[in-house]
Amino acid sequence: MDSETPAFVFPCKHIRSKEMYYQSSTDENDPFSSGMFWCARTHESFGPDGEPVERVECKADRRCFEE
Amino acid sequence: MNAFEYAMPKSIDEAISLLSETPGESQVMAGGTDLVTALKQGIVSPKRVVSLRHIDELKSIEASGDGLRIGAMATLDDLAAHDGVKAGAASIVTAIKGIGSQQITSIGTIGGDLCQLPRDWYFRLGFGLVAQYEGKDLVAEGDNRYHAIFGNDGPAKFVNASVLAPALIALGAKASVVGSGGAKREIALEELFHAPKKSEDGNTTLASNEIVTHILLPLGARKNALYHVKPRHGLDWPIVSAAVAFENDGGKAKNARGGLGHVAPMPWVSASAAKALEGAALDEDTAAKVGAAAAEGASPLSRNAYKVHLTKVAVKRAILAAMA
Amino acid sequence: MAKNAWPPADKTVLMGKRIARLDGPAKSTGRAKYAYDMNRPGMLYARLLSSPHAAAKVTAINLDEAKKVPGVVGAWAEIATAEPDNEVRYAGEIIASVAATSEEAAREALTKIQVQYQVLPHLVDDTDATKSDGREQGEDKPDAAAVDAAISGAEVKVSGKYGLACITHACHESHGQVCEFGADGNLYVWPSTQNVSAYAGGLKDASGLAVNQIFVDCQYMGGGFGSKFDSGRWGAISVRISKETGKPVKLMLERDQELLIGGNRPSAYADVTVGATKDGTISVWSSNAWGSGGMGGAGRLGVPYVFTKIPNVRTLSKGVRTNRRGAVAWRAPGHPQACLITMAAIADLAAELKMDELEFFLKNVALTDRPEVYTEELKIAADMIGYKDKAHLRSNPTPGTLKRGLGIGIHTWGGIGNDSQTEVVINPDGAVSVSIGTQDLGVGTRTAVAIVAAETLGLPLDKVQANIGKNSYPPSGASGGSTTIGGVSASTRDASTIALNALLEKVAPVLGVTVDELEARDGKIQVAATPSKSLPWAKACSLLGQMPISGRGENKRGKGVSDGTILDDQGVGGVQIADVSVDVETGQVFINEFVAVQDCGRIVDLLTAESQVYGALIMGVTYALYEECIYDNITGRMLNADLEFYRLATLADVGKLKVHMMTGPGYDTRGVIGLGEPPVIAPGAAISNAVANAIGVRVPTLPLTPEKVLAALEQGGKLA
Ligand SMILES: Cc1cc2nc3c(=O)[nH]c(=O)nc-3n(C[C@H](O)[C@H](O)[C@H](O)COP(=O)(O)OP(=O)(O)OC[C@H]3O[C@@H](n4cnc5c(N)ncnc54)[C@H](O)[C@@H]3O)c2cc1C
Ligand code: SF4
Repeated sequence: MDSETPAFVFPCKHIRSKEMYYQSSTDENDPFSSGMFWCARTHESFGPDGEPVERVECKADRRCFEE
Repeated sequence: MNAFEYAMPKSIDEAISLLSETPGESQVMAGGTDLVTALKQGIVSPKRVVSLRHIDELKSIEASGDGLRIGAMATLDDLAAHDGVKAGAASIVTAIKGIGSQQITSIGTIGGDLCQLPRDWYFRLGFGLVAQYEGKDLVAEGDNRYHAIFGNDGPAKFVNASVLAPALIALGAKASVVGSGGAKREIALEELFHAPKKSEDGNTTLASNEIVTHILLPLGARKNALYHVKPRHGLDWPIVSAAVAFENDGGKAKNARGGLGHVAPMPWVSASAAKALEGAALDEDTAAKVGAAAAEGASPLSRNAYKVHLTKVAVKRAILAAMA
Repeated sequence: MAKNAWPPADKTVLMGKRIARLDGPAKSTGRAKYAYDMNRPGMLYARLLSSPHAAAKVTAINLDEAKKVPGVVGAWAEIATAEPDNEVRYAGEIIASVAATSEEAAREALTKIQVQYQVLPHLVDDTDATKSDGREQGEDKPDAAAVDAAISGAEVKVSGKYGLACITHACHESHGQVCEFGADGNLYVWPSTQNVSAYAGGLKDASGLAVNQIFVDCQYMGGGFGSKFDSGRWGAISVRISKETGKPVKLMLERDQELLIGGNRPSAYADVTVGATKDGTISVWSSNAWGSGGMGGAGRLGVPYVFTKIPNVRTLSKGVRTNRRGAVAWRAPGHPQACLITMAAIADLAAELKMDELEFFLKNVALTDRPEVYTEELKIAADMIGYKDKAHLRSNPTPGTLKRGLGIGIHTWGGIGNDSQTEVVINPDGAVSVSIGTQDLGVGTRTAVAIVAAETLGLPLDKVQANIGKNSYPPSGASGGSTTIGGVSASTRDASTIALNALLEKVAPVLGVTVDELEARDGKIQVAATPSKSLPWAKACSLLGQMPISGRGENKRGKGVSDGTILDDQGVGGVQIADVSVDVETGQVFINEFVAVQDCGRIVDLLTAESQVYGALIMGVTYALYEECIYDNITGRMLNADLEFYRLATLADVGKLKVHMMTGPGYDTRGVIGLGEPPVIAPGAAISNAVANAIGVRVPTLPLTPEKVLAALEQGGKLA
């Protein structure tokens, strides 16, 4: 991950998207990003809390978030 | 699928007694294409399955009087390849070819086609032939795009799945049924079916220990044809089918009969259509009028009015095909 | 010295030729073993119980009777029975699992599990955004005033509703795996996956092992379409059962579960207004879209699609959360939806202008990113389908009840090569092994890897052994985003070149030349300028003594291979034209011909490239005409979780398919670009436009069933 970018926010360690598996970095600017995510804890597109898994939602302030 | 006993009787009598020993808890198996699916879906869970595959007398197709005596175990392929059927009952050949699956027609039988369970999705999900859920009529209030547009005033709103019944009814076929203690009865084919009041009543009028042994199919110099509307060219069910048969009496229809498929809990016989065709000139105008007459009295559900339209079209096209 | 750069297209021996899949015979004879074919000694069969309710709380699960079924080894609850984690959010959600010594016993045990549900209200209907509990997912270019002005100022405009139903992936091989803990403490897994190299990560927690102790092997797989990246709950559950019972476990989804929970392509609907000048130049686009990705997000709808340079654009996009399995990436996520909605609106605008659709598309290609490519492709596609002779305006339908029409769809895709590594070993006996942790989804990746290596080494195909499908091979990206062919071709070329150069070092002194003068061709190492000066391959390899040599090649996404050479590329365009007949009395749609013209850069195997496009067209016909997850509002259940009413096209339904791959300057002079997704994007659009052209009215949503076609005819006052 591109940890040098100051504004970079680490998403939850459980978030997955298909793009993560065919490129070695999670590039938010990928124009072909599917915008589809799943949670490795639930294997669903919603998290343990029932709310959708999203790059912008799976942040530190969420109950199920893990670093 | 539950565990069950599998019986392979060699005669009709033996089959009937095997069925009679366990009333209501046995299932007849012909080709098994539908039955095995139903077993897997848990729609039926018999203690005993009685296969008719080893009863030779049920497999033959014989000339009888002015027609054919067709064993219930004759396969759909046997039927479609039979010279007598090809010559005198084109509508049957069309129905069989329309199934669109070599696998099914090579093993599926005429008896199985007639007696098969409906494909209604609520039924197949386990909600019963009279599909109910928490006091709601699932078909009436739910997704009824493929359901009945006729004969649906009772609790049953599925459509009969047989592809052959409309053609056989139009041709005036009878069913030979054997039951308790070998008792035989012969019934007009349309009497084999009913719309059940309760799910347990099944979709045929057969008692649990009765089987269809033969279909008696009169063949004559009748014009006949079947027209079905299927979503796919390949393996699929018709949304609507219409079969007609009539004699050409100097350019006019005589002894006209018809049957509609997939529009009612039983193969549907439209009296108004037969009446409109009887004595009418065999032309396009008549075909359209009879189509319109066939749709009379239809009572479509919330989203299947298009099937009323398709009924008109199918009847019209069946008549045109028969005339050709 | 051998160079990484691709040889000119007209100088290749294998690359770009029509070469049949190497594993064709294994597949057609049944020798090929898929996950379901794997049987291990003492193996248990596991099965999953799905919720029949779309929304509920599980209050109790009783497994006692299930455990009593003869042959059953265990039964487990897979959901909590107490707050807050006991909520079921869609029908099909996994509730419990069983394992038994036979499939029959496992199935029977499922029927004996008693679950108490407290049923909750659900929403499964996604066709009406106003009934949603959804949330806004952001606005693009919300400059209302400018767009409103552009709309009112447009000389011609049309408004319409367009959309596509949610469909499911319907993989022929269902999701699942066979797994086994070895005596060595390692975990061995035979999954169906499109993600060999990274699959093990999903099993880490369930197995309690480090990823380097998990060995994945997937030699063949029967369809993923984007739904087989994750090892899934089924993967984790089977590993847990295997660990607990000490037995190998096979767990594959049943067919109904496959359709229910194996995948989900989100629906998309939009109210669109689009305007143009009188001469037919698109001037404004405004759309209000919604869609449902089940309990997940639906993603943003990327409209206007391809015509991204329309001057005035307003797009609103909203996700509707429904009690359905969450969205799963489906070939070109979002693109088929955006394509249908854009192309349909644009074709309606052309019809309103009484302008020929082809002429209209050609006129507006300037609003796309690759005008030259689309122009060229549109012309080729038009020629292939006989456009000139068949075309008519929508206002001028063909006579009779069987009406014929043409429709166009155009699409775009990226398709850059993924991160990929390959190892090429040249043995002293001349045998070559190529190893790469990629996967072959049936598309011919194994064959492509062999072609690139053989081409680079100047060998016939059968002299190269392509090893794929194991995570013990060098890592290669998952097959998603059409990134595989670019990645594996580049890393394999790189590895082959490196290994070859090591061999050339040995050969050069023997032939008395420098390494730079040598090339590998026709099974020989030869002096390029004087090919008669050569060593046969085997002889050259004997110079290695007893030790093999190897080369490790790597492609880094967007950055090229180890020496920086860029062997892949990205950005393609494709054009499709459908020729359909519609029976206006029955509403049936028949495909007469369907043409696809596709650009994919440098082609590795023309045969498998073409067959990729044929397959995409078939899948496209399927979702255009038949596919739809039908949900029941009352019970919240999917009514057609079977292959009977979840219809897939049969060969009798697809019409005559014609494929043309773009080659020549501007195309095969580029790098290798992925092809998995692009050709499946436009079929819905092309077919919908063809139907509209045939019958004179738009059928607003896919699939184009008789019911919907008749309804559209009736609404347009055109029902006979
Ligand atoms: C997956 C699938 C898809 C299909 N799709 C289509 C389709 O698209 N279009 C189409 O037209 N058809 C289709 N068919 C249906 C097929 O045509 C029928 O299933 C077949 O004709 C039934 O014949 P069978 O001999 O196999 O019947 P079986 O399955 O053996 O029996 C069917 C039923 O009839 C009863 N029965 C059978 N014979 C007798 C008898 N002599 N007396 C009393 N009861 C009897 C059985 O108890 C059972 O309930 C499909 C079937 C399957 C399984
Ligand atoms: S924040 Fe919650 S939902 Fe998101 S990935 Fe982490 S655990 Fe899953």
